[in-house]
Amino acid sequence: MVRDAFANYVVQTTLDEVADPAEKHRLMEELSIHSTELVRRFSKNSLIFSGA
Amino acid sequence: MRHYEARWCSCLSRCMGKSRHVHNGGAVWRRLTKSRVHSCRVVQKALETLEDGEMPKLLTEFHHNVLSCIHDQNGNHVIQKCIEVMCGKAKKAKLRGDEVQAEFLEQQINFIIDDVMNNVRSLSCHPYGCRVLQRILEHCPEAKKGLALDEIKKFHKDLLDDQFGNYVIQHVLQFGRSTDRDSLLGIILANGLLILSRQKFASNVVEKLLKYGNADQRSRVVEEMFKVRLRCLHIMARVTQNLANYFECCRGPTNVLGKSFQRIATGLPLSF
Repeated sequence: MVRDAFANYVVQTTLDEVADPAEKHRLMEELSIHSTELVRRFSKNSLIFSGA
Repeated sequence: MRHYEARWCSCLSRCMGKSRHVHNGGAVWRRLTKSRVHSCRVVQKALETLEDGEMPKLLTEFHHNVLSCIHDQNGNHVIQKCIEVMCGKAKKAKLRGDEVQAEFLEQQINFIIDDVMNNVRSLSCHPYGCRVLQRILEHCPEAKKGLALDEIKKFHKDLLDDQFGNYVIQHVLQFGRSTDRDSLLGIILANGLLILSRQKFASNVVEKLLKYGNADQRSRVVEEMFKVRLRCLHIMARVTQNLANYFECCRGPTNVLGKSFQRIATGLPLSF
């Protein structure tokens, strides 16, 4: 869902709205699994944009 | 008030005095269809400023013309204004403790509500019609809102990913009853949270459900989100395992590929 053009907004809203700390912790854990890949993606894109 | 508005207002009051053939479309209605942009502003201004006693007279002009007015690019604003103003006035009267007057004012827009209620499905999918439904959900008193919500409930599934219907559903989530949110939650879960979240319009609905739903409804959505990931993992594991097995069977340079696939398949929870 994080990688989808529209579903990522749903994930963002979920992070905003979820109040239960245990649930939030679980969500953050899930996201941290993706984080390395997301960072890799982002740095790749920024390299392309900066022309390097 | 600008000069053209002043001119139109005087014209409007003259027309209102004259119009007797309401069933044929009154004089105001004819004016409205003649020079649209300016006159629709004037009628809206009139709705804002006229006294309570004069409102019914102006509103009778729209009898039998509600649907064509809603479908018109200027007329729809007038109908929206009618709902907004009359419900506002009724609410004020209620606050003053004047129940009779409140009831009377509410009844004045019954003809709009009735016409809209008979065409909920088509109006919800109409660029202007959906706005009118939104105003009804925003401003109408509970009894009328309940009627509208019940009528919309029949079409929840169709409206979810419609380019205009989704706005109506978003308003249902915001202004509706908890039972409506429950029904929409059921539909979202039945149709697949992942599928709907990836659609342009339905994703907004999922967001609004998270925003306005109660703690229980929210946690059910989040629960489903975790399930989505587990299901994806499961499928991916099977696909990569199959591919790995396939490449394992191959001889020669492709075997390198086979080994890396095997690695992906076993280390999947970390790399996916």
